[in-house]
Amino acid sequence: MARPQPISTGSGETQIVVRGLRKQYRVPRKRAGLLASVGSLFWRQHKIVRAVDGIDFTVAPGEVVGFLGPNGAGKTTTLKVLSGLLYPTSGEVSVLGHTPWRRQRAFLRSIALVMGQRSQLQWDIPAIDSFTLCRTIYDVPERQYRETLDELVDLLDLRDLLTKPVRQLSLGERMKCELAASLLHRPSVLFLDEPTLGVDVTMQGRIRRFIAEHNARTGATVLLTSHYMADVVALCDRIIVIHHGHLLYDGGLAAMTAQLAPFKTIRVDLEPGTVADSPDLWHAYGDVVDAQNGKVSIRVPKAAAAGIVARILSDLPIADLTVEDPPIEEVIDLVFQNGDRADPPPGVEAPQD
Amino acid sequence: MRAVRLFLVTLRISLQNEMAYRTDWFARLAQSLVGIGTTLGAFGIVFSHTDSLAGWTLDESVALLGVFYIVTGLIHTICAPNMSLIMRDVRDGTLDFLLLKPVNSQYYASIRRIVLFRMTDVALGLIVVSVALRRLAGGIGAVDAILFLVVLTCGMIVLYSIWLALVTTTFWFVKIVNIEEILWQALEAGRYPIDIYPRWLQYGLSYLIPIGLVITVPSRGLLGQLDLRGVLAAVALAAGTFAAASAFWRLGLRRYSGASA
Repeated sequence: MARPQPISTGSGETQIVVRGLRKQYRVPRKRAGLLASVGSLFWRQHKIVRAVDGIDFTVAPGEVVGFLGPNGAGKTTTLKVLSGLLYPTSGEVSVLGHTPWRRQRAFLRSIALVMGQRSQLQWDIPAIDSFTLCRTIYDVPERQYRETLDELVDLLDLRDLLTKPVRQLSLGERMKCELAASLLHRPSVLFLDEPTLGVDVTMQGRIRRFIAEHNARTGATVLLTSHYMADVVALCDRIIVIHHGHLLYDGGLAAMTAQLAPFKTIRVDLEPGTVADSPDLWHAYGDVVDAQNGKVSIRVPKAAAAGIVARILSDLPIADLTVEDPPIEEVIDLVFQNGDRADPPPGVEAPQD
Repeated sequence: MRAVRLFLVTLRISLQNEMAYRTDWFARLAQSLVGIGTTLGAFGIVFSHTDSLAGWTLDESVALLGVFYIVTGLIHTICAPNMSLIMRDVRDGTLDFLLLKPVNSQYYASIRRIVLFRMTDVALGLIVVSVALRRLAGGIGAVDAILFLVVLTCGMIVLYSIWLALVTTTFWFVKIVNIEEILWQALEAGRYPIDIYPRWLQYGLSYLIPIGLVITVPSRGLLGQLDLRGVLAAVALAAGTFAAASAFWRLGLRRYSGASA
């Protein structure tokens, strides 16, 4: 996909600037048991949860940036601060030259936030009527509204959905309508929080394609969070990995694999008839990922890969051998595990699924 | 201008929403008719023994009953539905969508749902009031009518402001469903002139939850028993409570956004 021409925002190279962003929540500590519950009516213990703990990044106009991280990593909190819903505990944030949490009209008019698990459409009436409401709220001129709506109807294939009550739509159909409703005022910055959550695979693809097309057409900046690696791989040239409120990685997808995965995977097919797929045997070469039916894959340090391959080839009867970068999911997994080991800040809740 | 257009669009959407629950309308209408009937019956019994109840004659009391239905009808039409919507939004986290809109959040939060069919209560109230006024000989003068409308509007603003303030406390205490129940009970007391209640309750209904201001005072205006000073006091009180409630709403939003956490 060709990089779109950045839209002119008057703010130069960057559209979003985040410096030293911290967000702490004070949450009541809950204890089990009736006595404790009664006690907590009068006396509450609180603990501080650091949802975001000092992150910095900037985003240029027209970029599509993916936020990755396990549940509780601070992705949604970051998006909420950027869209003006939350005050940060400390740090500087500028979006389109505005301080988000002041929620100035000019700022709110030029952004949109789509939340995968919540709906802004009214349940009992057709989506087109909710669209009319959006048009009035954002004061979109009639002609521009028609044009944008036609475009969105085409791209998202909405024609048959608009006149049905929203409650009759499937989750995926509803999400397409949510996206359309959020884009009617042509926001130049789009925040998507888990836009494909719970949507079936075909529809996920449809929504991804739409987001890519929309970005290419309008040059809108897109920040998206997702659990689905496929979303991020398909859409984002740039990835920001957050874990326990810390920024672990910020850069390109390909470079992430190289930088964050300091190992390679060696896959070996043994000669038929050889009994050499016992994991014990392979521990000598590297970490065994899988070993059965004459097929073995091991993980080895990147720098040592060449030497280990040579040793395996001379030691054992090998039918086939390949050296690969590990799949992106494995890299992310590893990053999160390392993040856990390296830096579990005190008082932070463990991510929960 | 945009505020008016926004109001009209939400009105249209609310109507569409209501169409989904049409049968409700008849049940509600029946409920209101029964309510008026039983109260009139109670008046019949009381006034067969006396000509005046705490200074109110039968026809004056009936006029007040009419005002009661006008006020509660208006509350059911616009105030209560929006206030419950705010509480639901805070509970479900959907208030975020409201805060992302480039409109005044308090205004939009207060007009999102309009239950137009509850206007039938207002119509019933108007009928009851006009019958009572006719029996009171001579009907109502233009000045009294205007005073009545001014004081009624002030009363509605005060009630709305108190309601909004109570709902705003959900930003701190999420579970606060009973708050609405207290308001409804207090409102129900306004069916009768507050003068009939014991002193302490009169104070409560005048100052704490000023049902007196919302129903009894406008009724006095209707009956030509209100002077200009009373009207000015009502206007000042309405302006004051509205300003206070708005300030509290903004404080609540700051809390919701974690500004004070």
